[in-house]
Amino acid sequence: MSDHPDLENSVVAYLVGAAEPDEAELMRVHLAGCEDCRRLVARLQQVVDALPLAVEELEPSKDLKSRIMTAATASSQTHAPAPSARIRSRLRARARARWRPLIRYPHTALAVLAIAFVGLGAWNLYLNDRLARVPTQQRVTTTTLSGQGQLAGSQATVVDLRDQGVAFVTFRHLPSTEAGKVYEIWLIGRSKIPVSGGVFQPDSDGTKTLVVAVDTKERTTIALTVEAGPQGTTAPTQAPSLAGTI
Amino acid sequence: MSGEPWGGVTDPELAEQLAAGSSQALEQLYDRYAALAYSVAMRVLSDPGKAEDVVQEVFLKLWKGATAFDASRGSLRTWLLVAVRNRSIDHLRGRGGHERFEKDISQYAAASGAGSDPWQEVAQSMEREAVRQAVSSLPAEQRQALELAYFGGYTQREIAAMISLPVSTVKGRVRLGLEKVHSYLQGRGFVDE
Ligand SMILES: [Zn+2]
Repeated sequence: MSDHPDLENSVVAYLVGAAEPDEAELMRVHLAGCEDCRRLVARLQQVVDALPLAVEELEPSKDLKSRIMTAATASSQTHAPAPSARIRSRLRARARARWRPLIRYPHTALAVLAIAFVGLGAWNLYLNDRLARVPTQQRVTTTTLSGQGQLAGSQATVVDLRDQGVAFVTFRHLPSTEAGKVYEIWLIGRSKIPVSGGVFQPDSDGTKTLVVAVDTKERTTIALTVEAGPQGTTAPTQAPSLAGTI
Repeated sequence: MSGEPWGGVTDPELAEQLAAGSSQALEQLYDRYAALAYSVAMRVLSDPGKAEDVVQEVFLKLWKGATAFDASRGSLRTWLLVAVRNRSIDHLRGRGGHERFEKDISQYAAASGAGSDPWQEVAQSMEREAVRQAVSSLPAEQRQALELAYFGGYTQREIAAMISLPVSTVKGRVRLGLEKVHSYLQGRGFVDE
């Protein structure tokens, strides 16, 4: 392709954020179909990410730290704690308590747990240890949710370990998001206010398994939206294309 | 806090403590990166009040959404500084002026986040020095194009109008500048390939 060097320069300008929306769209389309340019992006992204390090170092005012800490302490009282924190503390609490034996679908549950263990970080070992000691019975319910609209054809299987305060959500047939977007999962409990359960991109085969915290007593609605990446948002900006109550 | 700024904790450990709701971890994160984050915001905004607002916004965002950050795969520092730069540009230009290439948090390479703490500190300050050197050694016109785009938040057409040159020239300078910084950093082992 004779115009490819020009295209590469355009891709790089897009990478540093200099592309106008129309050109950015062209670059996304081009990147989707051009392996060479994706390699170029992977190589130069490291450099773009390092650019903030080039700035001259300055000191913020002395009271910024206390302002941030005060705001953080205040917000942790009004916001639901992050799911993984709740999961961890509950699991630790359970470690001291006795396991409650009431299993209905042990094979399903263990299969999904096994999937979930891929890439779930430091507390895998802990969970594995718990699982090894799971007696033969444990109360588990499984629900399947179907997508609609832009997620028609997508599915989520929710394995609800209600007694543990957690559910495993496995998405299937999820289309990949457009560049700059992420999936964000929302949990809506008694307060009716959606609380973010984290952002993710599906794996290349369109699947993803997440662990979310659920209320041990109340019904929880699980919903999925597409939001601006990389961090997602604090409140959903669109109606969910996949949702259900467990 | 002791006089040891790193507190014996690596970034991935810190991210994990943050996700578990530890306000001490947030405090440590502040001690570690607030000055750098503030410097990035100041570079874009040139306004101490607004720069501090952005730093506060991003630290609180990380605090509230810490579960979305996969500590085992990500560099906390990169995430933080990229978020500060992006929010600063949003403040400066208003949303929707142009579009950014954004990655999923989990795609941030673990390269600069791991390691034991004394080494992490040394490695990070060496890296900072190398990036400064690399950018300041660029030919003036390449550095200008890169800085107007990355820290100024200007689009390629705006930059072209500013310096009265074709858009293709602006893109070419950005590309050349980034390639040079890449080979400088690669030669010192800070980036791959
Ligand atoms: Zn290409």
